[in-house]
Amino acid sequence: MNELHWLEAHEAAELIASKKLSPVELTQSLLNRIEKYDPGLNAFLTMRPEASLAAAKEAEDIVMRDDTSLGPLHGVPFALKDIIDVSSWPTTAHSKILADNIAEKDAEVTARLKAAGAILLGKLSTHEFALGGPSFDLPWPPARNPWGREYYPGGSSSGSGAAVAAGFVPIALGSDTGGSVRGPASMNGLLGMKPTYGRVSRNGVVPLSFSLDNVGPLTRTVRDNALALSIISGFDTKDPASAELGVPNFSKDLDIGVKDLRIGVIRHFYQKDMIAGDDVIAAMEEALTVLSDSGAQIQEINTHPLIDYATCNRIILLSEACAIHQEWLTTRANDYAESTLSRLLPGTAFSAVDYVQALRTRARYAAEFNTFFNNFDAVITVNNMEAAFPIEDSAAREKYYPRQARAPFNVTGNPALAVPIGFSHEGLPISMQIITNQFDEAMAYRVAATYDKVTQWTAKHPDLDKTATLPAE
Amino acid sequence: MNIRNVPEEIKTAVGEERASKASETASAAAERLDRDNFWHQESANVYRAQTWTEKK
Repeated sequence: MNELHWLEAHEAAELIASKKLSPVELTQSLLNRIEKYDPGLNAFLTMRPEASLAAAKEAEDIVMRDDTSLGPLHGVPFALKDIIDVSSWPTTAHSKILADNIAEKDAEVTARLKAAGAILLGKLSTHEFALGGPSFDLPWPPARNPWGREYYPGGSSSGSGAAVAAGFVPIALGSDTGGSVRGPASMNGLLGMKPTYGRVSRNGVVPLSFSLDNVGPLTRTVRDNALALSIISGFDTKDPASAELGVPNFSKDLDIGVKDLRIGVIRHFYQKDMIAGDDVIAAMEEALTVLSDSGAQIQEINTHPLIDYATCNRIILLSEACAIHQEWLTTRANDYAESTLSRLLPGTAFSAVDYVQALRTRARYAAEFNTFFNNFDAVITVNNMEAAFPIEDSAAREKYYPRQARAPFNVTGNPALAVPIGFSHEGLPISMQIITNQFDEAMAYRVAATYDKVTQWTAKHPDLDKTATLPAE
Repeated sequence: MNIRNVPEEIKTAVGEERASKASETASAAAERLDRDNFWHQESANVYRAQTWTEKK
């Protein structure tokens, strides 16, 4: 058996169901790992180890009774970005403003994971309200990157990325409004899915921008990501944006390859609109070669400049966010981190016409982008323009934070999957995105699985003894 | 460039310097927005975002 902390969720579930692995043993093993290494990574904000072990014991008892109705994640640990509600647990959004906020009930995604038999290990660090950060002026420190704790782990689902990459949990949920699942997935060497808008319920999740928010899974493997998405997806009457569609088997095509698939590549995002780092450009070309060698037909396509998508995303996002934060901005401004305030405030200045114009542009961009799928099965582009930057270097933070190509797909609403494509010369993960037609997440997983089968990037893990330990006093 | 201003009550709460910087950022973004829509282009909230078909 693999070391328990690197077990895939589906492997662990199979071992538990066949009585070869105890949920208590697995949970205790991960709790021990978190206790040992999380002081150097700050992935978790809230944990209740006794409750987690009690849930694991209950899961074990169910297995020992030969119950045949085990959920697909029975006894498998997971964790949640701390904007997702868990009944009777705090949901702080990593903010002083919600420090005393206790959730009354589970978010829909929490309830679905629990119903699948999964064991909650805790709530994870985020950028404040999924927007600011990384912030050093809040009561809780920012999460750090398991591949090198001096580096930024991406955001805003920073703890989710760090926890999965560190082997603390095989599945964590994050949220993605302008790229906040795919960013941490990129910088931590993980799979991260922003599903189609409407695929996953946002009920019980602290909102950032109603029309752009998505909840999605971060995992170490393609198969686990597809499994996690299948569990959290589906219609929910409590989310007004929820799509009344069934949930397909996202894993059904993982092994059939990409022969004759037509894949468009948007190179101008990272070779013209922004110029990505040499490591990233080289890795992107290698990835396209792998897919071409696997039988896909690759063709370059062009869309609007990256900055046009990013501007449209920003105006919608900040206008909607400020509608949520308006009162706190006047009554509790000093309780925000400085980076949150500086990112949020421009949203108070846009005019109503700016917002509506951005919504009109969004509708046009989405309609135009979706015509690609008349001729292509998937679209590929870069994720971050560089690997992670030093987290405490404020100049690097200012320079590199906006250098990404994720916002376009929040604007269009398409599924977008972050996939590891290698490492920078410093040994830090880099990533591409696979974008597919509305509600065709299975195609993204199919392309990712084919690619990963050849490259095996997801089999690589950080050595936390070398990368995540606190410096000596 | 048309200047976008932070509302007075928020400016009072966060201070002149932050408000001024936010105003600059918002003005630049509003200026940069692609508004090249046909006059009859509907806004995104008229559509079901998940399919981009019109709401019935």
